[in-house]
Order: sequence, then C-alpha cells, then structure tokens
Amino acid sequence: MPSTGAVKIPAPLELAWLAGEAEFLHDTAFYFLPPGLDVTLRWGPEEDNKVFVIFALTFGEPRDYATGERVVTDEMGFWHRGMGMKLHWDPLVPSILNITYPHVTPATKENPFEIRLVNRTEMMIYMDVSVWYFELTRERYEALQQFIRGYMNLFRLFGRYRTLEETEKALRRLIK
Amino acid sequence: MSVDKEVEEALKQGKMVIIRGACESKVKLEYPKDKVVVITRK
Repeated sequence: MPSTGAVKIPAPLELAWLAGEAEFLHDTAFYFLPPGLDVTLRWGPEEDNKVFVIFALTFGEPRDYATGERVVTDEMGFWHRGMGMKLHWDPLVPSILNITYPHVTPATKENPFEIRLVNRTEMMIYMDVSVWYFELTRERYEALQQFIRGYMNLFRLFGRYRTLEETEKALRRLIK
Repeated sequence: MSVDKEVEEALKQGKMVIIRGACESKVKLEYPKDKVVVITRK
C-alpha cells in the first residue's frame, strides 16, 4: 500500500503561505534502485538566498522491476538527515511507507537534505517519492523564525505569571 | 513496467536512475555521476 492520508501543513508555514510569504510546490521523482546500491544524494536550493522547508514525504509502492511484485523489506531503505532531523534509517516497510511521512526539515544551499539509499537485496526495485515543501527567501524564513520565537516567548510569560494582570505588568516593564 | 531506451540503457549498466519533472524552482541535486543517471522530463 502506498502512503495514505492528507498531507498536513504545519500551522506556521500555512500562515506564511496565506500571507504570501512562501510558495508551495513538490518534487516528485521515480527511482530505479539496483541491487548493491549505496548512493548519497543531497537535495536543496541552488540559490544562496532561498530556503526550502520540507514538510512531508509520500511514497508510492516499491516493486520488483523483474516481476512487478510489491516489495516489503528491511534490506532496502534510506538513511537521511537534515536541519532539525537526526540521521536515521527508513526501511521499505509498511509503518514507514503507508503513512504521509511528517518531515519538517529546512534545506539550504550550504546545508541540504541528505539521503543515502542502500539496497542489500538482489532485486532492482522501483518506486516513486514526492517531497512536499515551501520555498521562502532566506529573509522571509528568518522573519518566520522570529515570529515563532516571539509567539513562544509570549506564552512563556503566561507560564511564568499566574494571572493576566501579572503578565501585563511584566510586558509593560519589557516595553518601557 | 515499461521504460524508454534511455532508462533501459542506464539500468543495463547497473546504474541508479532518477526520473524527475522539470520544475520552476531551482533545485540543486548532488549525486555521484558514475553511479546515478538523472533524467528530467519536460
């Protein structure tokens, strides 16, 4: 079974998109993965002033090129890492492939999304993968980060003070 | 699964093949040229 369910957009990115500060797109590719494969790909913007914020991956069904049979195996998969995402292994198994993979990872020219594909089977496997992302200028991305930090800091104030009055006093002290 | 000659040739050589659609966004894809063939559909 391929990925199922809607692709969900994280709220701050949706707001940035609605405000016209981000452009949506996806990169869909078909992969033919020969036996013995061990290859590392790096994916990101070509331009210095752009940030791609990946928010989901979706997978088609991996199949054996020789027979057309569906493949479920932990002998083929990929290591991947990115900003805000530690290196980890994703085999071609239903708990990975049957979901819309939540994958919030910004990629820049100097720090691209990295994926190492490994095929330890005897099969030539083919499958399609879509990377869902927003493209922002670096300036707008940094402004979005500031907005999110400001939002978190505001709610930290509510956590620190017991009442709205105490929070208001603290805010007034801050802006004096 | 049917493939065109370009893909078939690369597969015979044991290479990984990536078939992508052309995109308005400027994506930089780095890969080892001796192991991977990238075909961009327009």
